[in-house]
Amino acid sequence: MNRLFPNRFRVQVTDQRWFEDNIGCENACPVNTRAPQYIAAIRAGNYNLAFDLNRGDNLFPAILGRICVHPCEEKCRRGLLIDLPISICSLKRASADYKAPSPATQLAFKKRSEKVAIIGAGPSGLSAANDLARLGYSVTIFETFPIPGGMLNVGIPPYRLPRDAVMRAIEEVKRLGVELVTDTPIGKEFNLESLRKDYDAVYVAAGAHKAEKLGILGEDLQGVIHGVTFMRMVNLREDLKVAGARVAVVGGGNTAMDTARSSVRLGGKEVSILYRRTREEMPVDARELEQVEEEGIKVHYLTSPIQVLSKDGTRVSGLRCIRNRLGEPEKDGRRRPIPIEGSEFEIDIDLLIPAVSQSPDISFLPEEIGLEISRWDRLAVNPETFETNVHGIFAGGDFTTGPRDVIRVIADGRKASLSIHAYLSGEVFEKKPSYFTPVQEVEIDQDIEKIPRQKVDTLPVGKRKSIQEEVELGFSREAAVREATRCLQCHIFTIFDRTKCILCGGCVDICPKSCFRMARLNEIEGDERLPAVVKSLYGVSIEEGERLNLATVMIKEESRCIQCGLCVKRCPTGTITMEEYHRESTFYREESD
Amino acid sequence: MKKGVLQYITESIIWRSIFRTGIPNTDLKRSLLIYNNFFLHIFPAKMKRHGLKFRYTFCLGGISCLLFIILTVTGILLMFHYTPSIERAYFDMQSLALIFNGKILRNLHRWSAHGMVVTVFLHMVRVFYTRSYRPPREFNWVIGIVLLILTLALSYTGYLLPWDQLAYWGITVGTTIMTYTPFIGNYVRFFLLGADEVGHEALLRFYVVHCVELPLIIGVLMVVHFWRVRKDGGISGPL
Repeated sequence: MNRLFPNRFRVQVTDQRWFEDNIGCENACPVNTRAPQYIAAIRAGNYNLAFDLNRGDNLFPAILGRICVHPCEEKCRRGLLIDLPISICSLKRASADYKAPSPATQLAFKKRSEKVAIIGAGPSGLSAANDLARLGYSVTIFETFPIPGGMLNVGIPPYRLPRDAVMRAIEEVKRLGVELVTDTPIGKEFNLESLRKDYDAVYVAAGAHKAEKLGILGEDLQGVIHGVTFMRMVNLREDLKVAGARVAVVGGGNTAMDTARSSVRLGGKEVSILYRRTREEMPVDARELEQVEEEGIKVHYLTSPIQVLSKDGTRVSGLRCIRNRLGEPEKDGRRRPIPIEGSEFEIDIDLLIPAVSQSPDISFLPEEIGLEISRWDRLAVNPETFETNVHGIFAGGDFTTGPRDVIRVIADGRKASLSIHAYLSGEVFEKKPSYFTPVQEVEIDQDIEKIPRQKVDTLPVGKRKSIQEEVELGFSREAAVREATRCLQCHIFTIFDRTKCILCGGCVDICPKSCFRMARLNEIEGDERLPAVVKSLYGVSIEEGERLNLATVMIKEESRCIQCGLCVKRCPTGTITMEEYHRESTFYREESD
Repeated sequence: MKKGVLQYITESIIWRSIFRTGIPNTDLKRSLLIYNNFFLHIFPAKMKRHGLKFRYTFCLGGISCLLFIILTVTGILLMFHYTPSIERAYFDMQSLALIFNGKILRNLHRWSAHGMVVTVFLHMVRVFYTRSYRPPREFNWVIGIVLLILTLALSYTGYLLPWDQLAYWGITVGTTIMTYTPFIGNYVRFFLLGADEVGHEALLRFYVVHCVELPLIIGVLMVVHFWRVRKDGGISGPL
């Protein structure tokens, strides 16, 4: 940014956006899960409230508490300021683990006459179904596979996500009156066109289940099973001969790790992962990579396959690879792998699992209704409304973008449901505006800065034999409360009453993180709102204000604040109060409070 | 076992009601310590980096304060041994040599008194040459001048107490000089000595002024002086 005065403090006049930006975790979550609030509930030992808050925002706490990629933790102020971020994801799981069981009664909602069909019972379809059912629509989900859940059930292995957690979440959706039809592929006969006639709206959330090929010689040989196919076979318990085989997995993402770890559990002899870049560029979570290495899987970095080899011409017997070096960074910031000439080598394998990417299978879409297909063989949708070019057909989730993570796909489903609601009823969803509630005293542990991030217990490596045995055991109640105690509670803000401040500097002095500073007008700069504020308070232009030295400004660096409340206690005039910010809700939330 | 006992003590209600913050090993606890502790709350929770620079202050104010504390402590101990009467004062002073650590006590008091006059003077010289008397610190400069005068007054009143020839004639000369004050000279002398000559009344007066009045006034003014240092922008900061 071009700055007029490089030596001045850059100040921002606060607005709604500013408050939201400063609650890093909540803002980073695609569905704006109220993480600080549910962490506070866990700190108070109220797991039911923590679960309800989660359920209201991300619908599937038990699932996301295990497999979410937790973009929230990257933005956690504690992680950026003190040590390691709060285990927001694992706390979510704790809320699901320790809440009281919910009653198995069907919930009643005001019914509407319109019917909605959803293709795909994956996370996106289920979340759209959840919100539409709560809004009163009759929802039917059509699922190709014999079990619902989409990638949650056929993509992710049970040792990472136990099936009963998925089934419980699906039961929750069914309790809302959603009808689930499994084993029913939408194809040529029972197709989208007929669905459109029978239903008032259709949401296509068919996922991305088609494996992307490596594009190397010999990829069609027997013994080459693509990652997504392999996981489907494992999860649907189809016949797979892995026992005793030497397995090589290609890729650095979650599917690659899942296939490799599943192979180990199925009796694979030597399992290795080939990744074309280094550990630094690997998209997989560090914790999972650690578990991969614990389980004895070798990861070969800077290695690409170039040809699948076969001794008998039908079955895989080896793989020719080449070593890479890293070149210039690509668009996504990761450095491009460049093959090193003459570094080719061969390894002996019996099973090759390429798990580089997946894509949606759009072959079932009937051509006659004229759906617009984008350049990348994806169904084209309006990114805001998830509407296709055909009236009444909406699409979202991985189906329109290619593989992403569960929470982003859930966000799609939730947004699409509101868009479908607007389409069917003409009613625009009323957002719940943001508001503050006063906080009498912030509860904070004196040792907050010293409490280490709590470790999630895992199953000992020796016991990780079965694919059904969950590896991560979650937090104990005590560990969950201790971890929740680490939270800095960024949703609580210090609010200043300008008229009471006597500029004593007490807050500047007492603040342990040196958040505050007093400055003269000629020491600060801001955007166009700053002169407007000066004008409204003093009736003069900012230049005139600077010249006359009209004001002393209290400025606060919010990103350093740990919400200890010492400034509030220290302030002799009661200028500062602490207030909890409640974000504007753009998703359909069933509010109990 | 030893650790267990220590832990038992430090985790007890009594210990924790006295030492509420524990070891200040984080930023928050450091601030809390200053905030919660009576003796520490007069200090700022944090200071500017230059506040620690020796050459900005040469620690002269701090040394003066330290010497004042030494003088108070040794002075109180001397009071246990000393009787302010012309019959006993000199012998009490002499007999200090016979009691345990008496000499060192007296010499600590004596040299600290000389030292304080020097450091207070040098402190003012430093303030003067760094132009630190300018607004908003002008009021504190005036308090500083009063503190210098009081320091000299303490020295002077203490001078009589040994009741030796040096003290007697020193006070005689000093109070005689005072008679040259226009119009009220004789009254001033009488007011100070309580009589027309340096005698028992003078010794008692100087004793009370030296041990009670002046230390109380100087103590209060020191508190104001330190408080104003904080209010006027903190220690040693350039304005």
